[in-house]
Amino acid sequence: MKELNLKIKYSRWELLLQRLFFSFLVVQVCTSMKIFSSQPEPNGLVNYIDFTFLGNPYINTILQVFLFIFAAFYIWGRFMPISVAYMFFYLVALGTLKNSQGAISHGTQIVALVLLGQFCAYCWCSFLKFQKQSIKTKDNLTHHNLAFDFTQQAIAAAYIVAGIMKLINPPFVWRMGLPIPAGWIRDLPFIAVGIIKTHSQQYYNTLSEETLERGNIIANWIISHPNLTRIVLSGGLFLELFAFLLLLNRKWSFIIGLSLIFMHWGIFEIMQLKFNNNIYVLLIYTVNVPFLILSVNKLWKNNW
Amino acid sequence: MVKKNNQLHQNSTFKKISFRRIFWFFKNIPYKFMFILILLSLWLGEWYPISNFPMYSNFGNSTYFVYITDSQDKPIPLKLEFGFHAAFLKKAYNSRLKKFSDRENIKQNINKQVKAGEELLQYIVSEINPKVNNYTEYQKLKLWKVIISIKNGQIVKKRKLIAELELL
Repeated sequence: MKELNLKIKYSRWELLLQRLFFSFLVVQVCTSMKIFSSQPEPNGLVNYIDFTFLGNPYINTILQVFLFIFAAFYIWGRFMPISVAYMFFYLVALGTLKNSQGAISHGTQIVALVLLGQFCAYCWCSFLKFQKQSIKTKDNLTHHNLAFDFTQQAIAAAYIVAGIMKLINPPFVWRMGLPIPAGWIRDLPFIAVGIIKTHSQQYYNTLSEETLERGNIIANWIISHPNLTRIVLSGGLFLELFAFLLLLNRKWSFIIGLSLIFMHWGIFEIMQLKFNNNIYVLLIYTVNVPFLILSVNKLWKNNW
Repeated sequence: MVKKNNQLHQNSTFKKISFRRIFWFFKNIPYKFMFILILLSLWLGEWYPISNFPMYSNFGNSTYFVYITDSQDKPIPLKLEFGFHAAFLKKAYNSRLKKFSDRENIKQNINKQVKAGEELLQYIVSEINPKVNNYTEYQKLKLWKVIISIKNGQIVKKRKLIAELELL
């Protein structure tokens, strides 16, 4: 009998609430995404498959109906490999088409990566079952537990990669003849031009005057306080690089998750860049709102 | 005396943060899938849903953005009117610019910027749903580029017209 080494066992209700919240997010992301009729700069699967058929409103409506059906199965916890596969491939099709317009955005990748992680976990469990290597189960929840485990690993991977890119992308800082990957921290005060850019872009989205003035104030403050900017903002880099700590246990998952949400809030306040999907995913799978809800409910039942 | 020193060393925090503890710490982290995803992301780069998340990983002392005006040079609220974000517009312009030439040649030859700009405006018009938005009332779409840089501790902005498109 093969036993999967799962550190933390999550309860039935906790996993159910997670699936419920996450399926809402997937449906919201898929139904609100702008669908394009062309793919001028192919990216990912668009190199091999023409996804412009999604631009046909009739086909897309049918696909969305199936999305609702499979999301219901997903919440119920049945036919998991097929349900997750459908949600994953539909989101990938929409996201790839969107990213094939010559403008790559990173708003929905985290949701797709979580679905990829869950898809791999459920397929792995099905494969073991098929191989007659029955998995040691606790309340028949092992496959959901493994999916949660892979989900957290996918989230950590996304942040670690973002951190690594900040180390290897900018030119190295040379100290005593040694290359130090601290170019990002050295160049941080140049974020001021990026702030002016994002605030101006925000202005041209809606022509709301306040954003321009706000951007100027923040950018000028950064230019006049370069070292303080380096100290404050470099915390985000270390947080990304140490995101793997969220895999350690519930406490670390909560701390790292909450810190990453705080980082996204800071990015929005400074740069007007929204990463709502990242925040929702962090709330569901790292801060673990379902667990908090159940804990409060338990306390309430026991009269605090 | 030596015995006393050894005892002191054993009771110190160095013992607590031993290699064994660090090994235990990392052994308790499930990492295989995470490790595969990290390697895939660094290898493939942008391949949806895989991404190496390169945004804001490198800062320069200048950047730019683009926006669209009507024939009277009045800015058009891109999100409200066309359903596109200005950030999307900049990235789409940048990718078309790269397609025509590398950056050094673009600086020498302004025509390539015009070509990229015109292609972008045509693309924008092709993606607008005429039933939703009567864009022809603008008569003309103009694409502007604003270069932002830091010079002598001051933020400097330079604006220039890139391309125009007559609307019928």
